[in-house]
Amino acid sequence: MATATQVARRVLPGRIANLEPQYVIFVGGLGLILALLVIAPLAILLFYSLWSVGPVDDGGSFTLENYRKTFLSSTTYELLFNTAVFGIGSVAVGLAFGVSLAWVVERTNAPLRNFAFVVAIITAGIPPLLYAMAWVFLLNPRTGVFNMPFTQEWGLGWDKGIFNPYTLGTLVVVEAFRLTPTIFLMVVGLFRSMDPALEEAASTSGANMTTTVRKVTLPVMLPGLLGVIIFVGTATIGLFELPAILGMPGGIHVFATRIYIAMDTTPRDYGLATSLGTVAALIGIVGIYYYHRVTRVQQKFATITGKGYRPRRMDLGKYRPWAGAAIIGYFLLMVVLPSVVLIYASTQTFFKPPSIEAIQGGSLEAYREIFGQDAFWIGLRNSLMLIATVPIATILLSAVVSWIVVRSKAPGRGILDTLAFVPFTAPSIVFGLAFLLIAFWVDWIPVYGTIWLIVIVHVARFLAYGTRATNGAMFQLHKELEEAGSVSGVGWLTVFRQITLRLLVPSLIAGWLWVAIHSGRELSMALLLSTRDSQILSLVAWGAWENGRSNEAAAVGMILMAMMTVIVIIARIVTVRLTREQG
Amino acid sequence: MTTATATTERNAAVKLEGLSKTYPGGQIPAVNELSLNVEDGEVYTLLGPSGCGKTTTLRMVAGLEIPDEGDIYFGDREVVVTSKRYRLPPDKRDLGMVFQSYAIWPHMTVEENVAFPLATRHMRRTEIRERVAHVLDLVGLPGLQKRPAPLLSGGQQQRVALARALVIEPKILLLDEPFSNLDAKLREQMRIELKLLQKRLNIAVLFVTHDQIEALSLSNRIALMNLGIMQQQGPPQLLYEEPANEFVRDFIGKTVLLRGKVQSSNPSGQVSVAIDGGPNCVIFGRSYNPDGLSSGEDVYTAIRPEDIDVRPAVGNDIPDGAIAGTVTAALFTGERMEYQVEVDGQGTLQVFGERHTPASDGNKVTLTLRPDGHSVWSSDWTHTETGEGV
Repeated sequence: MATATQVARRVLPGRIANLEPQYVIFVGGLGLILALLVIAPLAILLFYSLWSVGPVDDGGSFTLENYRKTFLSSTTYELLFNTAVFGIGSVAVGLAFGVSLAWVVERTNAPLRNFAFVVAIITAGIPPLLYAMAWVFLLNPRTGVFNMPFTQEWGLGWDKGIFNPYTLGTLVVVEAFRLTPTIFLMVVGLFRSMDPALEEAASTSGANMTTTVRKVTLPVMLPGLLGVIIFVGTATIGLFELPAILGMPGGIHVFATRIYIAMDTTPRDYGLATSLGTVAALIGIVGIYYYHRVTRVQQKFATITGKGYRPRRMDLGKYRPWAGAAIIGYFLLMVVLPSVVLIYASTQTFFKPPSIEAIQGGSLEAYREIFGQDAFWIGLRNSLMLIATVPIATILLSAVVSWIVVRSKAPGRGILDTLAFVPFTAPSIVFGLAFLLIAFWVDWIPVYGTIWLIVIVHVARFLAYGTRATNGAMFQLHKELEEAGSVSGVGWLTVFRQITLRLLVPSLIAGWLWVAIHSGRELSMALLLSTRDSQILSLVAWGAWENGRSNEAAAVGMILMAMMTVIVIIARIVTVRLTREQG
Repeated sequence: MTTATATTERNAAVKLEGLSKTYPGGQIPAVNELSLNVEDGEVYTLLGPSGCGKTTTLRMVAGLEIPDEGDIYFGDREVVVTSKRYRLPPDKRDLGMVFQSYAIWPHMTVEENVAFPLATRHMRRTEIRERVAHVLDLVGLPGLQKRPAPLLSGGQQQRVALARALVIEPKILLLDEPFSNLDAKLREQMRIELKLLQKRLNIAVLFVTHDQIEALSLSNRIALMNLGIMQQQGPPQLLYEEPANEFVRDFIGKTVLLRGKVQSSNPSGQVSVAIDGGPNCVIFGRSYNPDGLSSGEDVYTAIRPEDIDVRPAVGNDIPDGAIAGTVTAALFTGERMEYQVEVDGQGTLQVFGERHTPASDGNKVTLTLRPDGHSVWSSDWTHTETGEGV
C-alpha cells in the first residue's frame, strides 16, 4: 500500500493536460486510495468479527460465535452502560459549562472575556493522557492534592480522602472539564454565525431576556448544538486515555479499554476485540449519519445578516465581578492546577502532597532517567517523524479531496466526501486494531513494526478532520479567482497548484496545526500497532505510568507538551508572516 | 440650522431631547445632542450617509442601545430619563420594529413568527389567531400562516417582518433600512404599499435610510444627519429647495455649482448674481450666510440640473439669462441626454438635456438658467469631511 505522502507527491507535479480520461483516472484513483485507507480497515474488522480464528492462525470458518459470546457476557452490558453514562454524562456536564461560558463571553459585559478565549485554546491542546494523569495527582485518595485538607488537617487518616479518581463519577466530571474548552469554542462559533437581530427582534416584540434565550436563542442554535453534541459525544465514546487511567484501576471499562485488554492478554482475544470494535463503529456510523443530517438542516437556517457583528451585550451589573471570578476559577481549575501538579510530579520520585520539604527535595532525576533510556530516544525520533509527515500528507490529501468535492462536477464526488468522513465513526483504538489486522493480512508489505504503519493510520484517521477544514476553506474561496486562472489559458492542475493551494495556505496551516497537535499526542491508535522500534512519546509516557513510574510519565508528558508549544508558536509565526505578506 | 417645528410640546408620539451616544473607543460621538419630535400619523425619516448616527438613534428609541445623555418620551410616557437613571427595557416599550435583515426566526412558521409578540403578552389563542390572520391580510400574505420561515422569499420575509411589527397595533413603528435587501422593482412596490398602509393605520413611523429617493417619497418630514449631528429637518421640499448648509445641498439631489459675482443683496438674504461665462446672465437666489454677502463678492450659485435648459446653439448669439458652452461628451441614457459641457470661466459642468434635440460631441450649446429660486454660497466647500453644522 502506498503511503499518503507518496500519493501526494505522485499526483501533484504531474503534467496532466485537461483531458477527460485523465480526469477520470485522477478522481477514480483518489477514490481508490480513500477506499483502501477507509473502507478496507472497517471491512476487515467486520470480517474477523465473523471469522472463527484470528489473523495469525490458519484456517477458520464463518461464525457468529464471537457476537454470541460478547452479548452473552454480562461485562458487555456493564461496558455499554459505562460507555453510555460516560458519553452522555460528560457531554451534558461539558455542555452546561461550555454553553454558559460561551454565553457569558459572547453576550454579556463580563470582564476577562478575551482571557477566557486564550485559556480555552490552551486547554483544548492538552493531551488527554496528561490531563488524566494530572487529575490522579489531584484526587488520589492518599496523596491527592485536593484530599490534603481531609487527610492531614482533619486527621482522617492517610488513606481516607473524600475524593477518589477511580470512579465513574470522576471520569464523567474530568472528561466534562476536558470537553469544556472544545464545546466553548464551537458554541462561540454558533453564537457568532447567528444574526443578533433575531434576538433583538424578540426583545422589541416584548420578550424579556429569559424568554428571548428560551424561545429564540436556544431554538435557533439547536441544530448547531446538536451537531456539537454528536461531534464531541462520538469522540468521547471512543476515547481511551481517560477511561484507561481513571477507569481501569477501579474496574470501570468502556469500549476502548475493553478492546485494549482483549488485545493485551495472551493469547489475544481477536473475537472479542473485533466484535466489540464493530459494534462501536456501528454506533459511530449512526451518530455521524445524524451529524450530517443535522448540519444540513443548519445550513438551511443560515440567514442574511444586514450589519456587521455587533450583538447587544447584557449588562451584568453587580454580578460582573462574579462572572470574572468564574472565568478565573475556570482558568485555575482547568489549566493552572493540572499543569502545575504535572510539573511538580515530574520532580518527585514518589508522589507526595506538595509541601515545602517535598519541593525542596525535588529533583530532575526523572528527566535524567528517561534521557538514559533508548526507548525515549526512539519515541522522540518517531514522534518527530509523525509530526513531519502526517500533517502535511493529511492536509494535501484533504485539499485535493475538497477541491474535487466542492469545485468539480465529477460524478461520485459525494462518495469521496462521505468516504473521507467515515474514519471519524470508529473509536481510534478500533481503527488501530483494524490496521493491525490489515498488516497481518498483507504481511508481504514490510510495514508492521515500523513507524510508517502508524503514519498511514494517522493520515486515514485525521482525513476526516482535514477535509472538514479544507471543505470550509474551499467554500469561502471565491470561484471566480480560479476561473480567472482557467480563462488565462492554464490547465486545471496548474490552476489548482498555482492559485487554489496558494490562496488556501492560511487555512491549510491552521488545518496542519490541528493535525500536528493531535497526531503528536495521539496514543490509542499506536497502542496496538507499536513495537519496540515504532514507539512514540505518548506510548513511552503510558508505559511509564503503567509501570508505576509516575514521575517519568509526567516528565515525558512535559517534554511532549513543550514540543507541542514550540509547534504552535512556529505555526503562529508563519501564519502571521504569511498573512502580512498577502496584506 | 434646524427649522424646528413648534408643535404641541408634550404629546409628540416620539420625543427625543438632547440625545448623545459615544461608542467605547469611538473618537467622536455617534449621536450628538439630537432633539426631534415625531408626531402621530407622521413618517419621520432619519437620512444620512453610513456612520451618520441614524441607526444608532433608531436603536436608542427601540431600547437596543443606551444613550449616554438625553431623554426619550413616547407621548406622555417616560422611556429614558438620563438624569433619573430611568430606562424602560426594549420589551416594555410596545413598539413595532422591522430590521434590515428582517430577523425572521428560522425555527418558526409564519404564524408563529407573527404571533410571537402577542404570545409574550399572554393573549388568548383564538384572539391571536384572528389578529395574525388579519395582519397577514393587511401585508398581502393571506393564507401563508403555516409556511416555515426558511421557505420565504425576500419580499415575503419583509412582509412577515412588517406583520410581526404591526400585530400588536403599536403607536410607533420603527423601520431600519427595510428595503435595502430587496431588488429595485420590489423596492418600489413595497414603498407604495408601506405608504398606503401607514396612511390607513395612521401610526407614527420613524424610518431610517441612506436612500434619498426613499426618504423624499415616503416622508412627511426628514432629518438629514451627518457624523452624529442633525444638519436640517423639515418637509422633503424644504430640504431640496432651501438647503440649510452645503452638506444638505450636496447630499440631497444633484446640484450644478456656477461661479459668479454678487450684483446686489438685501438683508433678508435675497441675492442677484451675475454668472461667469454669460454676457448678460443674472439670476436670483437666496443666501444662508448669516453675515450677508457684499456686492462684487465671488460666490457659487447652486442650481438643480432640471433648472438648466440645454439646447444646441443657434448662431453666435447668447440669449439673456443663458451661458454658452461646448459639449465634450454626450451620453444617451434613455429618458434624457447627459452632457459634459465646457463653459468659459466655469470649467466642466455636468448637465441634462431632453432627448428630442440632442447635441453631439464638439457642438456648441446654450445653457438657459431658471431665473430664480436658487441658493447662493460663498464657497463650494462640502461639509462631508468635518460634519460641522452651520
